[in-house]
Amino acid sequence: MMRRRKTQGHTPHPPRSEPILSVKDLSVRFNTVDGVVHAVNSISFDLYRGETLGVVGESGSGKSVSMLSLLRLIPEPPGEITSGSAILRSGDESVDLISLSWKQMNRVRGRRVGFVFQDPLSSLNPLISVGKQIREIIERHNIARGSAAKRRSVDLLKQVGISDADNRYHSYPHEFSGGMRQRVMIAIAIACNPELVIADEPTTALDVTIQAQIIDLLMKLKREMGISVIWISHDLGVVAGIADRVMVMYGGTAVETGTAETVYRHPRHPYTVGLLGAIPKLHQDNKRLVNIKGTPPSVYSALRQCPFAPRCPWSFDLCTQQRPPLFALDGNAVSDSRHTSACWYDLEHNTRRTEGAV
Amino acid sequence: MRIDALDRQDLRRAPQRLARIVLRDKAGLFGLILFVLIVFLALAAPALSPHDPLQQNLRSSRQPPAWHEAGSMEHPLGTDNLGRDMLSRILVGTRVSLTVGFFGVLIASSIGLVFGMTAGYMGGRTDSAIMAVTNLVLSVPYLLLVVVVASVLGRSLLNVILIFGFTNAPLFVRVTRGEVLRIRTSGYVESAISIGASRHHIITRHILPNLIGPILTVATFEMSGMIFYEAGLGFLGLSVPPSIPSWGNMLAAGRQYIQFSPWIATFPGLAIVVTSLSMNLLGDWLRDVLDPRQRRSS
Repeated sequence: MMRRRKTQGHTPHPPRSEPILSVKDLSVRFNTVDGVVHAVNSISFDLYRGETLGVVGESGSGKSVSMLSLLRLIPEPPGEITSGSAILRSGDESVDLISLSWKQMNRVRGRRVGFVFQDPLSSLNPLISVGKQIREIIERHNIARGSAAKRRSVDLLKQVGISDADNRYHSYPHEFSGGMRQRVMIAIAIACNPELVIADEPTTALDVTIQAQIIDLLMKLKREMGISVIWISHDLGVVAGIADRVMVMYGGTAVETGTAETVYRHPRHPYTVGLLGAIPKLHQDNKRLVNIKGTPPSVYSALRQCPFAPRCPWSFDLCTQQRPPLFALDGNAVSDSRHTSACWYDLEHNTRRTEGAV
Repeated sequence: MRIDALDRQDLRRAPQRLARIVLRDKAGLFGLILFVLIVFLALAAPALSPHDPLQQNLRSSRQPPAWHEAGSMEHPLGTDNLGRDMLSRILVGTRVSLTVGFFGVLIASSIGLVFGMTAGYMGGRTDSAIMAVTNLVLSVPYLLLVVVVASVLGRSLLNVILIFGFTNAPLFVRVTRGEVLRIRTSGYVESAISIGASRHHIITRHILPNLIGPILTVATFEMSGMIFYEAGLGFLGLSVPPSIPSWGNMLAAGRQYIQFSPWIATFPGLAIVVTSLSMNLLGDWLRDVLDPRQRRSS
């Protein structure tokens, strides 16, 4: 058996382990009065234990909607998950998040998957003390009860770096600064030892010094607790510093995936190239920043072409006729660190592609 | 129930917190004291009244108040055209006003809370249906309704309360629905859903507590309004029957004698003004107190 496998030549690398989250062909649309918005168009990705996946894209690229829909947190209706699966594995047990009932989903939310939102100012109930809000999720998921739950809440406050946690347990959200409130949100997200934390632009509403603290905190907790993280951001710089792998999204599709290193050093999708070109650099002369011409596409029409084609300097006739599939770029299509790009044009060799999709 | 050390500390801090808030707003404090006093007077009216409010004595009719040279301490606020003691009638009249205000608001806010929450939480067709009925009720002129009901069923306290309760419910439905819509899409409800909170938990822990502030505030203003309108109906002879002393009835009776015996109309009028004022001050104060952002701890 072993010998036969080896002789086949293209035997896949044995994966590091099973991914804890496998998303396949996820599509989400919104049925609005103005028409159908195709917010997410069949995206697929895997996430491994302890790994950080950076999801990058501009507003309206579908990065938040795709991740929110994993936990069915988009309003339904008008939202609708039209296809796809999202397998969450832990040990031998695996569940498809997309097919769970609301009740079953409520046992996953907060317990196995934690969520950190963008705006910590509005994410806490103003009428309940921060300590009680942490305690409620602990009791909700039967992690601990009574004074044990309370002790755990105080410990969590300490763990996220809130000093004088015993007294701060009784504080109300309005008595906390934005950064401290985001720390509380993180405490809530990790309160039940989840396998995965989805952070939806957790630092966008904070000022730059606090941003760095929150990023450090989340990464420290991730290492200590072995959590996998999906970090949604429009900030390439932030994601470059923390992500193991990156998924660049545009117009509701994943246009390029790969390790952070590869995507930043060798971008192969025109959109990624454009994004990286638009970052101001300290060591260069103050030239005018290169921007991407045009505006993001309307997502009211189903994708029958490359969403980036109208703005792409390399586009040719095929780009507007057929949507490009993800092409493997490193010849190692099945490795989990594969570099893929959804583009008909091969930037590396300056040739036009017709086949070879993943 | 086990209360550990930290909770006890929290409980100890609560009264001090409340005291600080109460003392900060002088006008609110005044309104609160006035309101408590009025409620006390209404409850203790039979004991405090120097005379039977229905006892007529035509020989001592239209006696001026005590401080007037023709007045006496026998009737501190004078007597009306039938010789009934004004003070006793005003005291007992408090009961009618507060009963109408309290139960009217209770009915209106209960209806409003149930339908407003259903409409706001369920949305869709349920929402449209409830709002359609609400607008229908709003378009019925309540004065006309009172006249019709009073002439068909007779004048009674219960009828007035029921009519006020139902005709004012739309306001509560709208306020509740609006607040529920706001709270339901707020960050904390979204984050509660994201950590697996049940529907029951979201309604009881997040939506209801955050509704109480605005509802109570509207309720106080509405109560003041109902007291006002009850007096107006009484003045028109559409509220409680004349056998029950009410401020509106007294006002109507005093109208004829306003030139020569102005106290007969003045005192019930003053009572209405003071009661309304106290409740409006109280409403403003409640709005501040029930908003946690006002609870500065330092």
